[in-house]
Amino acid sequence: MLIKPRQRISLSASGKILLFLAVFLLFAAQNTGNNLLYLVSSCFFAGLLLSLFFSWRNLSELTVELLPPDFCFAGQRSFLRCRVIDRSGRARYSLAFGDDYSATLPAGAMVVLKAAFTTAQRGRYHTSQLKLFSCYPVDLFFTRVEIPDAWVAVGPTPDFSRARADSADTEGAVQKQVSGKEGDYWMQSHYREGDDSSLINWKISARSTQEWVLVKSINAGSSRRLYFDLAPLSSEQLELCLRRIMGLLLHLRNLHTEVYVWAAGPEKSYSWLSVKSDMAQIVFWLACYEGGSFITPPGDDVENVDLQKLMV
Amino acid sequence: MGFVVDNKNFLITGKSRAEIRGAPTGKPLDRIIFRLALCLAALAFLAVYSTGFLRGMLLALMPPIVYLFWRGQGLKPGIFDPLAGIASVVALGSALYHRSGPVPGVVLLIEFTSVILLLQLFKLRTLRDVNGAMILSLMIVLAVAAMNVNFIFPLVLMPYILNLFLVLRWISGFRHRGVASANVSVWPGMGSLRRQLAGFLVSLALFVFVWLALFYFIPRTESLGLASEASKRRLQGFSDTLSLSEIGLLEDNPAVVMRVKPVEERTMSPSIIRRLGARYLRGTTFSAYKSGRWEKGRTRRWFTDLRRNMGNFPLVDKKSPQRDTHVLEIILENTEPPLVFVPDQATELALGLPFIGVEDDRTLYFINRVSGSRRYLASVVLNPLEVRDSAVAAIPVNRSTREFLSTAGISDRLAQLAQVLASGTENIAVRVEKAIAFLQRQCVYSLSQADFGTTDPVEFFIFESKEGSCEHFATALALLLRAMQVPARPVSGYSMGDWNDVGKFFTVRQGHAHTWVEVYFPDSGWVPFDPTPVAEDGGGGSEISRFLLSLWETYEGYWFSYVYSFDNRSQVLGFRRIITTMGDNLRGLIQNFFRVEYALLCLVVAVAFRRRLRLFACGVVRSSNWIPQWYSEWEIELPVSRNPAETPAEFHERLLRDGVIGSESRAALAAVVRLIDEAAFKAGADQVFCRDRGRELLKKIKPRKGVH
Repeated sequence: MLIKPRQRISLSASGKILLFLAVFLLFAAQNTGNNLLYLVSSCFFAGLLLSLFFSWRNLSELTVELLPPDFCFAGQRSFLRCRVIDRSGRARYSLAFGDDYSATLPAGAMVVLKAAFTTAQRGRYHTSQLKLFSCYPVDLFFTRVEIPDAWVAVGPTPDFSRARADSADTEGAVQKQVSGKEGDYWMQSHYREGDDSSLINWKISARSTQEWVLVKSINAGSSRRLYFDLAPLSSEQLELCLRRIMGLLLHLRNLHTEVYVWAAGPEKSYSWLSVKSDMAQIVFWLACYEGGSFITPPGDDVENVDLQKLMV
Repeated sequence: MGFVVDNKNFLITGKSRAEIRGAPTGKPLDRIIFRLALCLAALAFLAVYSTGFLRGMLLALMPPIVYLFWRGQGLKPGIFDPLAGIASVVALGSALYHRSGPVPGVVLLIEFTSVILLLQLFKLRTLRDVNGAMILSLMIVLAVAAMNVNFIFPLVLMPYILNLFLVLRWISGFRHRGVASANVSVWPGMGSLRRQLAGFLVSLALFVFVWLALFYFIPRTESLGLASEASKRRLQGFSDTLSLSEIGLLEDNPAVVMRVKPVEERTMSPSIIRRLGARYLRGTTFSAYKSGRWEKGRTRRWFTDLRRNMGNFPLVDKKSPQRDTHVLEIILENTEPPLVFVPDQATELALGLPFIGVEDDRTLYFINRVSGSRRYLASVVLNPLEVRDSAVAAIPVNRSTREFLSTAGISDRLAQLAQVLASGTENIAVRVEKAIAFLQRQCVYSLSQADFGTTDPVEFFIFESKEGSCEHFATALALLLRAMQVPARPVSGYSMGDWNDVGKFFTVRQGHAHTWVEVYFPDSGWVPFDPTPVAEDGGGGSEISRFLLSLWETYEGYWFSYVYSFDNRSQVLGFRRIITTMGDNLRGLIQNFFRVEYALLCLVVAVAFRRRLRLFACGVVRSSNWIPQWYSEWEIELPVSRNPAETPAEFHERLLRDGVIGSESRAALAAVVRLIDEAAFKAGADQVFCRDRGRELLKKIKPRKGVH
């Protein structure tokens, strides 16, 4: 999301000491008329003023964009990214976001800083007190651009055990067909989070700036419409079931099968969401699902996934 | 992890300001910051050294600092920490024990702080320790500033501030390093070394500018008028007494007391400067002598209202016209008591004050004490004083001469000597001449003070030691003349000091303090005579050393005039001068705007910068800053202008399509586009080649005639 930076500046411990000394010396100089005290006091004030100016200018007029992950999963390491763009044509120094750091940002350039986080459970997490900060140029002021609060949907930890077992027969057939035949891959797509890392084509990725994933030409069947009736499950069963569902959907996505899931997006209205293109919304649904009544999807060609079987 | 996750409340929280600031506090230091902190402490000690106090202790502190600098890290925690604690308590106890002694309190404070700072350096392990060392060194520097004693301090202050900046810069990087998992460079490199150096110099210049601006613009209030202890101690020679038994503590003191600066250009000629250099600056006189001690005696003091005379104080009768008068500006440090020092043969003082204190012996005093310095003008006659001699018998014995004829305190032996010297002489000048000749023949000038026991110091000086300072010579002459029935009194003041040819002023130091004698002539008044023989000059060193000394004095002069003695009056005068100068310049600019010289200047500027002016007028430079200037210069010549969002390639296509340029130039235009791309986007492209080749190609591409 694009935000208007809200810049704050405050004195560091050294800055507070220097300011106190400058004011104290000014009083002493006024009282005694000692010009050396005036000189030292004005020196400290000059240092503070210039430092204030440079500190403020270092982070002002920056475009700061928080880039939350499309989706992420509990128990896994994920990243919050912050895109910083200079549009005023001057270089910036010592930029930090979380535990990431950039020594310089050349004039008119862009840098993406990222910091990791790991959650223990699924849910909709709010961000708070995220900031782009800098101690530049000297340790007198602490400048920061406060990033407004946002939210991140953290899905349940994917459990692939059942999904792989279920599709082992067909998967084996697929593996047999594609084994050793490069020509059977008809497409390469960008790596997306949740993709099977074993399908990354490293030969091509090494020559590119991002990872490419092989997309198999095998058509695993026509598009399927799945729905999960979670209403009857107890709370313990629900968590296990959600992990299994997450694993199943990611597995299907990795197989590039045309699967649609009856799920509710951020607007809380149920619709058919594709595991290929709407995974973020599906993860959001699974992250925020808290039980309650279930709306059965319309149509005849829909499959009600047997949750009891999934949880075995 | 860069963030803190609260799973209970579903919160991903960034680190707070306190966490970021506190993260590196306990981390170990590297050698660079350790050595920077050592340099900071060493510079603080150097500032103390420049005051002249605690030199022995400071020299003793140097070897540990050198050792630590070589070692590059503090001592490991262990037995040293409790020992350091005990040493600090002992240092505190020592400072408290000596607080009522003769050592000034500020020196005790510096001594204590220096010891603590050294102990802190030994256990410099974390950022917290560096902060502690920084604060202690700041305390020392501030205490030295408060002592206000010398001109070397600013020379130490500059590198100290630079070092402080480096320490703070390093701490800034260290704070980032404490938070970041990525590699942090304390000195972020950006561009070439030349560019970095230029940036540093610009920042430094900006800092100095803001510093000086603040120094001169911070409003001064009238202070309480307390001269610093150091200032009082330096100038204690000018009190109501003059004692021969004290060792001449002022004689070799290099502290600057005043500057005497000729105001007019004509005064700067070498012959006039030489003659002015022989003058004295009169302070005060003494009348009563007893056992080597002069006192002022009974003197009347009154206040003179100068308001009717525009703040001027006449010293001679205005009716007698004076020729060859030169004006000297005297910039005088705050003295105690606040005397007005008057050059010999001064005719008038321009003090700019409403009142002034005057005594019987024409000693002048400032009434109000102020901080900083005093400035006033003195008009001085250059011609030698014409003394009209008189017979001793013609000297009237009245209120103005009676106390200066007193023979009280003159020993019999001295009186007998005076009678011998005066025998056969009737005139005052002859007796003065004889007495001076005797003293200069018999005695030599010396600053050493011999132990004269219970003998009268003057008797001891003339008959036994035969060596003494100017005070001994002046006292001896005054007493001899009094014994010869000639009114005489010693005068304390200063010789004119050293002429600085770079700064064009005389530097009067405390070492130039001098005592001479005034003799009363019925027709000429009190006339100064100096019985002290000229001390042998050691040759003054080489040309280079004299030049360096001259530069040093110039620096001192500027420091004294523009920093040390800057006060609220100087500030108000400065503001007025700025306003007046700005007004004059503006008026002059308006008045001279239509003059031929200005028109020619504008024309030359327009011709010299015609290309840039044209680009600026077309707005080309700002709208597309990636396009090389050589291309912009060509495109503004075309009848069709490029849209800001249009690339050169698109622009060329339009030019060809509209027929502005013929298709025969298509290849050349394509080559130009390639050159622009190379110049703008290729790393390490040869800009000079691109420019020259591009201009060469563009020169051949002409728009078709008749196209508008």
